[in-house]
Amino acid sequence: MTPSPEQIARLRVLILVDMTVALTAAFLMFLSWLLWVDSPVLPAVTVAVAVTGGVMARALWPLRHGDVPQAVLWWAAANWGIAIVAAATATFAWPLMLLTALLPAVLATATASGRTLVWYVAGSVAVSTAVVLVGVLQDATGLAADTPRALQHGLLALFTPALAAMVGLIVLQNSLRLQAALAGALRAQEELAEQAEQLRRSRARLVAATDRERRRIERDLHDGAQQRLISIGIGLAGATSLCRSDPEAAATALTDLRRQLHLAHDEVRSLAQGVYPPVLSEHGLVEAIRSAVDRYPLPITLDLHDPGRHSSDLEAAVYFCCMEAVQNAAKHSRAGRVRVSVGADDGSVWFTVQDDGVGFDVGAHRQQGSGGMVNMQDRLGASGGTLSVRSAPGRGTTVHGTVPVAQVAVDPRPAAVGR
Amino acid sequence: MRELTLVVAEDNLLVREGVLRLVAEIEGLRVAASCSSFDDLLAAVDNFSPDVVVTDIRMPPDHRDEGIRAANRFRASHPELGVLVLSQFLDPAYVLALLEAGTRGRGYLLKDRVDEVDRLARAIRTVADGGSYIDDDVVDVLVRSQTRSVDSPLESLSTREIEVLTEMATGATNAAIAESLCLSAHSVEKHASAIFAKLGLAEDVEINRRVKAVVMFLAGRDPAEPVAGPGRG
Repeated sequence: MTPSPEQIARLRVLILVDMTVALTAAFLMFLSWLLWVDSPVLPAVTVAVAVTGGVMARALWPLRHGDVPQAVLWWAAANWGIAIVAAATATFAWPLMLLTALLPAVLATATASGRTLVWYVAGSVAVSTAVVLVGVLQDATGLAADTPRALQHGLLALFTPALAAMVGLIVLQNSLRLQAALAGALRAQEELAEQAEQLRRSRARLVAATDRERRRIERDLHDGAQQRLISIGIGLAGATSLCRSDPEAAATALTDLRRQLHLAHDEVRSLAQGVYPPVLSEHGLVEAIRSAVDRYPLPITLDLHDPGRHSSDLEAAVYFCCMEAVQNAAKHSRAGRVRVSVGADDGSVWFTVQDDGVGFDVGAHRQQGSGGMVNMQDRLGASGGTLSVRSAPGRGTTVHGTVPVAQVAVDPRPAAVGR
Repeated sequence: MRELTLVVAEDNLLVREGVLRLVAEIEGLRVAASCSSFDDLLAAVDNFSPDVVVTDIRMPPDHRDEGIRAANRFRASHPELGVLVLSQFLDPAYVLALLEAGTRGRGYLLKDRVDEVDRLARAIRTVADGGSYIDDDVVDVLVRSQTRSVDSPLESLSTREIEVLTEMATGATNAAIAESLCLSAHSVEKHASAIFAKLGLAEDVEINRRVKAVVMFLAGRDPAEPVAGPGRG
């Protein structure tokens, strides 16, 4: 419970009001002694009450450094002290002193916690009980007898509302503060729950995307390379039998089979690049993008500024998102020019894929929640990055992604010799 | 044609046996040893002092760039040794790593081309003689990539000049370029001068340095790096 400036200000006001009440009481007692009450005890009690006011003033000192616990301690001591003394001497005032004894407990619920709070409550209970006992069961000083009934009632009527109001005000402030804090906590909880839900959905999407990728690879292998290999196998069988009967034809067939083999190799190599290009982990983003882009029959312009080496998660996120954007441009944009840029600045690595093609309606696209953009967003988000897509029908498209570089310096893999 | 001794380094059994069988078909080549790891390769070269090493890039222990690291070591320890790297990586980055310690006696051939025996033989002989041989598929990727770059200096070159540039990057001599493009040797020289002037490269008659300058330029690196290693660079 670190004290806020408002809390300190409120406490200061409370202590000042309480001090004022005590000093007013002392003044009135002094007046009474002069005018209506002839008792040697009264001056002593007056002094006691005035001293209490002084102790309360002392409680204001720690507040200058914001030391709330100290201030409350002094103030509580003052209140309890005067409660016992006044109840014991001016026994008719015990109802007022009861309220006074309870004040520390009520204030402590706002300023203390744990063991300290328990002590204040216990203290207040003890002093309250003592006040009642001492006020009701004895009258050693005889001041009650010496004080005119009317004066007694007047004092009670005057000070009871003041003290009760103080109790009420503290209780009210506490309650309002707690309610506000509770509402704030509930709101924070709701926000967290929503974030957690979004994360869960994003994770699910990533897993689904990975599965789709795997199925796609399996399909590509099955339909592409595997079929070719099978057909090459058949061709080889044919060439074997030709060897004996027509060697010339066999040589031709074999040459053609070698060509088919090269094509199959290219396909498998392409597939491997799609899974994780070795050049990315070995030589970094610029070389990997340069290489990958070569495979697209698109008019691509490269504007690559070496961002240096980073963790493989970061490089993979940037690489695959960039390539997905290029792929989208290839599939949908019908662009005359595609520009791919990559770079690093200010603690993040960024990429931009820009085309002058047909564009699309970003808002409508997002509502359909279609795969490609969400996939890129998820991928980048998983590394703490962000994606922005600007496009309009007929105006081309710009996809821009950034990923922050982790604070902890990642030691890039030892560079190949010769760098 | 003198007989050349070879050491073959390849960790995949099938490919290694295949390469050995192919090399056996080529006249004038003799395999002194075959090995399947970085340490074995270094030991074999020390023991047999071959003329050429034919090696894969990835090998035990790390399966990263052992072949290229070995080639760079041999630069200092066996300066006359030629190294032909056989790799399935089309990405120019690997070629650049190979050439950074100098182009003399270095070659890069795609594994898918290894079944073209003539090409393999030519590549081996080229690096044995101290020349450079870069697979033209890799050079094509490099050239295409450079033409795509923003503000590419290649924009100022004519189609013919880009063809000549591509051939230069494979390590071909002027005579070889002339034959490949059906030009006269004189035309090739003229084109080469024009290219170097347009690209702002220091013209170098020495073929190996030319290869390095061109390849580095295509990769967007500063070609004016001191060439490492002794001899003619």
